[in-house]
Amino acid sequence: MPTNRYITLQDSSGSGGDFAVVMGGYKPTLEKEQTINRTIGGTIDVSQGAVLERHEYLVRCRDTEDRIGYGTVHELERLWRLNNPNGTPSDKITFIDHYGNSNTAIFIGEFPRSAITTILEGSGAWFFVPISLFLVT
Amino acid sequence: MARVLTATLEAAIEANATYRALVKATLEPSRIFFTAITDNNPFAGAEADGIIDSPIPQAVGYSPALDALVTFVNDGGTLKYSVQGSSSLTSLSLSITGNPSVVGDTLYRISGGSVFRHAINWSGPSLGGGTNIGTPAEGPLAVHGASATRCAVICDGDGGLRVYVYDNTTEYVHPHRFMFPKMIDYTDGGVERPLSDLALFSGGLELDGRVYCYISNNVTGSVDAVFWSEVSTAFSDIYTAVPSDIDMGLCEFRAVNAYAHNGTAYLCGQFQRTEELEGKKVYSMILSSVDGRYFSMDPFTSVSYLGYRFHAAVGNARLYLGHCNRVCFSDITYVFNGVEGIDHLSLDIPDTKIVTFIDQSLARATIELTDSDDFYLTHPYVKEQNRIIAQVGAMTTSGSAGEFVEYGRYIIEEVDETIANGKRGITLNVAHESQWKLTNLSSPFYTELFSRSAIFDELVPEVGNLYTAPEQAQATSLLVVDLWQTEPFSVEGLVGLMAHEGGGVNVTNTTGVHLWGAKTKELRNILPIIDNPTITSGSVGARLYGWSWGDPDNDMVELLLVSVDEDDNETVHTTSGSSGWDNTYPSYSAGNEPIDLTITGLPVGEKIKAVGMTFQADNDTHFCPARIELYSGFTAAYLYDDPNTPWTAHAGSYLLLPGFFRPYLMFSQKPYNATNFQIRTSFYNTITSGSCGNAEDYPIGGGVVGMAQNGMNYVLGRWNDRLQLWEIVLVRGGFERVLASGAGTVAPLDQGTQTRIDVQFEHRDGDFVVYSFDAPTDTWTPQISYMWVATDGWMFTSKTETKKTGIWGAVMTPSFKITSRDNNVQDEKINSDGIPMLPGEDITNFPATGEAMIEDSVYEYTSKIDPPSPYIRGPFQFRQNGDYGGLECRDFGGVTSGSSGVGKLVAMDDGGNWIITEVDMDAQDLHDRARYLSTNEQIFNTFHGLQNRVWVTGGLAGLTKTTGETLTHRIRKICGMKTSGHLRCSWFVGVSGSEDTSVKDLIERLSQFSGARAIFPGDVVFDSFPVSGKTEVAEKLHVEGFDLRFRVASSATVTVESKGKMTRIVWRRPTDNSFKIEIEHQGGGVFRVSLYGMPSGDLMEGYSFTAPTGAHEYRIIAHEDNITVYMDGTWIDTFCTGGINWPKTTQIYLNGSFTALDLRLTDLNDWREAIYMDLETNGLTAVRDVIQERPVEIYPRSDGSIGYWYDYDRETVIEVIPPRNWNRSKSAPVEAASDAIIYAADRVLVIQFDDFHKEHGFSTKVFRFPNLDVGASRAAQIFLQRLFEGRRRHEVAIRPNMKLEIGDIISVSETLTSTGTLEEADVIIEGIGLNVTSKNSAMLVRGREVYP
Repeated sequence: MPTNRYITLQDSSGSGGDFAVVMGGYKPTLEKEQTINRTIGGTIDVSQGAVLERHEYLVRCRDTEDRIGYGTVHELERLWRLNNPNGTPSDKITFIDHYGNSNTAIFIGEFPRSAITTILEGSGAWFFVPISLFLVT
Repeated sequence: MARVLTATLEAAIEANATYRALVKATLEPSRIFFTAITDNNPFAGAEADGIIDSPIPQAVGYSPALDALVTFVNDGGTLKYSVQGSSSLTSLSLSITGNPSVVGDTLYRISGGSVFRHAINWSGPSLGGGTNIGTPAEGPLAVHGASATRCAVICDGDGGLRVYVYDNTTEYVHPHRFMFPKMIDYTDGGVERPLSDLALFSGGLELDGRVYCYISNNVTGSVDAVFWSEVSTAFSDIYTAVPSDIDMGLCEFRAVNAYAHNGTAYLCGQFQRTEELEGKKVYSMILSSVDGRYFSMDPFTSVSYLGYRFHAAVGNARLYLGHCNRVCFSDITYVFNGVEGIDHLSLDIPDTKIVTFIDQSLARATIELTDSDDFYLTHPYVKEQNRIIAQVGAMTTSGSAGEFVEYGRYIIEEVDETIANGKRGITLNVAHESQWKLTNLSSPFYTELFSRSAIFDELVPEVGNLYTAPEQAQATSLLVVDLWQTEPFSVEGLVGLMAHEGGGVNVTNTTGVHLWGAKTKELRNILPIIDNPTITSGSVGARLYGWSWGDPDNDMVELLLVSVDEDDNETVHTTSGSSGWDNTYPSYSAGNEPIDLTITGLPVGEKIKAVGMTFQADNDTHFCPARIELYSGFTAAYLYDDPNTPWTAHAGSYLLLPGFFRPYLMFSQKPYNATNFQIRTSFYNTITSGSCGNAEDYPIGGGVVGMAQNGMNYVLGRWNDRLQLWEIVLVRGGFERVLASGAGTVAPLDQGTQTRIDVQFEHRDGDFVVYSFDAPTDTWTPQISYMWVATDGWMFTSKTETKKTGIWGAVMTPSFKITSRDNNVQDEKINSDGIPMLPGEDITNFPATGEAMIEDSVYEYTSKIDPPSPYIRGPFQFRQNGDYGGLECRDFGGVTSGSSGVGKLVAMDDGGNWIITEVDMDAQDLHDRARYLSTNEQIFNTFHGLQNRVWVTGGLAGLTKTTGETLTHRIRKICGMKTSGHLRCSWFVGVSGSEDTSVKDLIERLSQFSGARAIFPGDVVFDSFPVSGKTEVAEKLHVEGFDLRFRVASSATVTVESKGKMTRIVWRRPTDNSFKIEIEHQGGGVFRVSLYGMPSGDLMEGYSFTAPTGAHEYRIIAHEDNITVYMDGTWIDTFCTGGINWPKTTQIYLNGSFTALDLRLTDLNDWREAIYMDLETNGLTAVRDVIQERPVEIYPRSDGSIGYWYDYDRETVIEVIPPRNWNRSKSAPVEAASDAIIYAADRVLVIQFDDFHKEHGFSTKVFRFPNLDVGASRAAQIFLQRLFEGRRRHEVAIRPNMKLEIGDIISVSETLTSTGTLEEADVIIEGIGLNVTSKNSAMLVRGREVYP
């Protein structure tokens, strides 16, 4: 299976870009909605729910980008800020993981932007941004 | 009762570890309401909005080809149409009477007295050739298509509206009529509405093989209905489909059209409050009914306040309203789409949009939705009053979409919305659909729901169910007023005349030109009449008596009449240009004897307060008035001496006719307000009376009255023993009119010394029938009948009083009122030669010789003295008597012959009367007195005064008093032909025509009125129940009656037998402990229903009737006192048993050889007589009023209905998933008892309860059911059982099990951890809580433990 160094994020209008990710920050998480009850007979009663999938990445991006297809930190922020489900584009993101699998996802959580260079502007200004995406159907 | 799950779903939820519960829902908007016309193209001549009494007959139908509503119109006798979107009116060149009717692709119309059916080609549209499907015998006024082959036709039934049903071309005629057009005078002095107009406010439809016809009752404002069944091909009784206010005139529902859609009946009409209301609006409503019988009036039924006479139709999943081509339409909602409809507006809410679902025993629930995209926040369906159907399920395999079962139907009461930054939340607070409808019905009026009202009275003296009918009086068309109590009357130009002197009316002597007048005091104060006479015509005829002489002219005499309105405003009316009496002195000139005149221009309805005379001449005159007789244009009634005399109660349990010469009526406390009725009674008659002239005027016998307001207005069925005829008689204002008579086939039973008159009088919607009891067959058999017709007038004479029933008895003979008679004897000479009659009386019909009675005295008489010609003279003032052999009075004849009075009676009002032997009409030449001589010396040996009145009259003579103690018979006493014997009434049965209603029936009707649904799982139900010989249907404990319905596919003899001992004295048999009802087809459509005592098999009573042959639907309802039999929705007969002693265990059987189909034995069968719904009463309160103190369990069901039951065959659900938690409590039920003393409404019961005694010992408790007059024993037993079962209570937490519903039994078991102890219990579920969230779901079941 081919792997990429980046993930691709696009809004519902097709705008977006590739974003390089740092391996150490990649944290795919599966969540299981379930309840376990203990019966008085000593057995357990398990109520199973949906399996949810959350992907956490540490994106490494720049203030401006001269690489073709890559997105800037501003583009990433634009995608993150989408919050109108009925808008165009909507809050749903097309998320192509580093395996090339395409999913629909929604940004969740915060958008903490950490500068890793002393230069804050231009193509030499790099940032780390941890992001969380919930896959939706 | 438990929900039915698929095996897959059941397996999924019973797996030890499986998927959490899922919830999804469907949201459905409820209301459609038009505030403006959608497509406004009225055709030329279109009606305005509002209520119109003579509307343009029209019908609407949806054209699939045009996707538009088409309005068909009767435009001046031609059928035309108009299409939505265009105001053009296009002729179809067909004549039409009344309304067109459209059902599906078929149009019905009336033309030339026939009914035609056409296929509709909706492209155009155009009509196919008409098929003449029938010509009713009575004029058709309106037609309603029920299907492509069936229609209902409303015809002019001569005073009533009769429904015909055509099944293709086969005609079925309702045997009775809607009689509201002639029931009471609703006109308030205006004009009657023609039947052709009334018939247009109607509708018809077909549902479940029944053709219904609904007609608005213009008097009550309700909608009355009747249905025809394809099973029996018979019509039901007429009933009220939509009630209205009991106080007629407050509101009304005018039907416009009716149709069936997706298994539901709809009735479209206009609702208006008829009381005065500023800016009053007329509402358009579409009422619905699941069975076609009773309609709802819930908040959703109102569809517009535009006020037009909208017709409703459904097409292309839209609801259309149309009136004169003004069209409103909207996508349809479930409310208007029928119970089977699926294509109405709805919105599916997937489980992925539901965060939590919390339900509390289906009564209430909350549903929390996710709404990240504001979809629900802005969706128009997410709104209060809309319906939401929750489905609960589970995934059956990993990753599947889940399988669901309907969990509950709710109405949204409240939508809670939470809006915050980054947060959207919607919570729906919902209530169970039927509970919401019951609690949200706010009764729009005060109404009464009546059951059959019945009474059996064995006439035990102290019981007193019968009472003296009010206003028993002798109607008269001749009112005789003397002037003994007059007063001067003066107005401008008229001098008041004081006619009185010395206590009597003296001569008045005038001088020169004069105009004098006098009038009586208020008539009701000087005459024994019940009220001042009522003017019934603009002209009143009168005759004036007296004398006047003068030279050259005597007085012109005119009539004075004082009328008074209801506010006591007086108006004086006089005649003018009349004439005088004969002028008899000093010379004779002819006048009028008497003066006969007509006074005109009188206000009809006002009372005559007084009458009088005026006297006018230009010269000296001398006059003396005698009396005024009013003979036309009014009604009046004389009081009887004994107006409030009841029939005499005898210790032997019978009532004795208390007197003669007038009818004596007793009314019954029940049935209450009986329009239709069946009244039975029995008389023993030993009356004998001699023959007389005009025998038809003097009935003797006993009978039954109905439609009675008082003792002067009623309809009577009687046996006239004098004529040996059965008669149906209409009595109005005290005057009789025989409507029908005949000897019949069964005369009263001759028992030698007496005859037994068994009479039943029955009225059913305009048809009266008199029955006699045929002793050899013990069967009530019809004798004569009469159909009320328009010319008979109003059927009942009061708008405010209730319709009474009762008994009637009379011994009528020729009779007259006397001037008086004195039986005193002085010197062996009696003071009276005869029995004189008052003016206005008649002795023509007395035999020439015979016996007569006055009060307690009997006289033999040998001759009749005819009244003097040309009239009875007087009264005149007594002046003196003396040994000249006579008396003198203020009579005067001047130069006329003095012999006309010879042989007559000169009679006084103090008792004396003597046969005249000589007359001097100008005694002593004083020109103001007459002298009458007699050979009876008492004429001058007795003392009198100027206050005494003297008449010259006729009467009976040659008298010998044979019995009696009374010395003086005073003025106005009645002298009649002697009769002997007696008439006694030995029992009375009265039954009204309203349908019997059990607790279940009333709950059902209230539920339907509020739009709720009720189910009764406690009923014993068989789809098919084979009967071969005596076959037990059920065994019931502690019941006091039963209500059994079933259908039989033939006219086979059907027998229902039950335990229960009848207590009517003549029906008691020592060994009998059961009774049997048999319905037997005797051939040719003649049936007989019979009641037998069992096991003796003795026939107690039978009733003969006719019905179509073939399949029949039966209902037999028995309760504490009565057993009523229905066939095909028609009341057949009610047997009044005098009470039934029901055993602890009652078995109910069918007997015969047939299969009973759709058999249902009602659980909540306790009988209720009536309930009342006040304004604002909500349905739930009304239901509780019906149930009273009965421990009926009431729980909402998953299908949106409410279940009501005492007990039923509960389903046991074995809970295979171990409970998560199990709380139990054990206690002695302190409220239960081993011995319960029950104080019910009319009795005290003691019940011993063995289970409590065994488990907890001896305990006595008192329970009070103050309102329970029926069913107290069963209620108490069940109440005790419930309390006792409460000794073991359970609360079990389990994983959701969608099978469970309240009332089921959950069987719980568990082997406890470590110890291995097995615990198990069967619990009757009383409550279920369900909580489903994204992570967790739980069900909490609580209930009481089954014992043992």
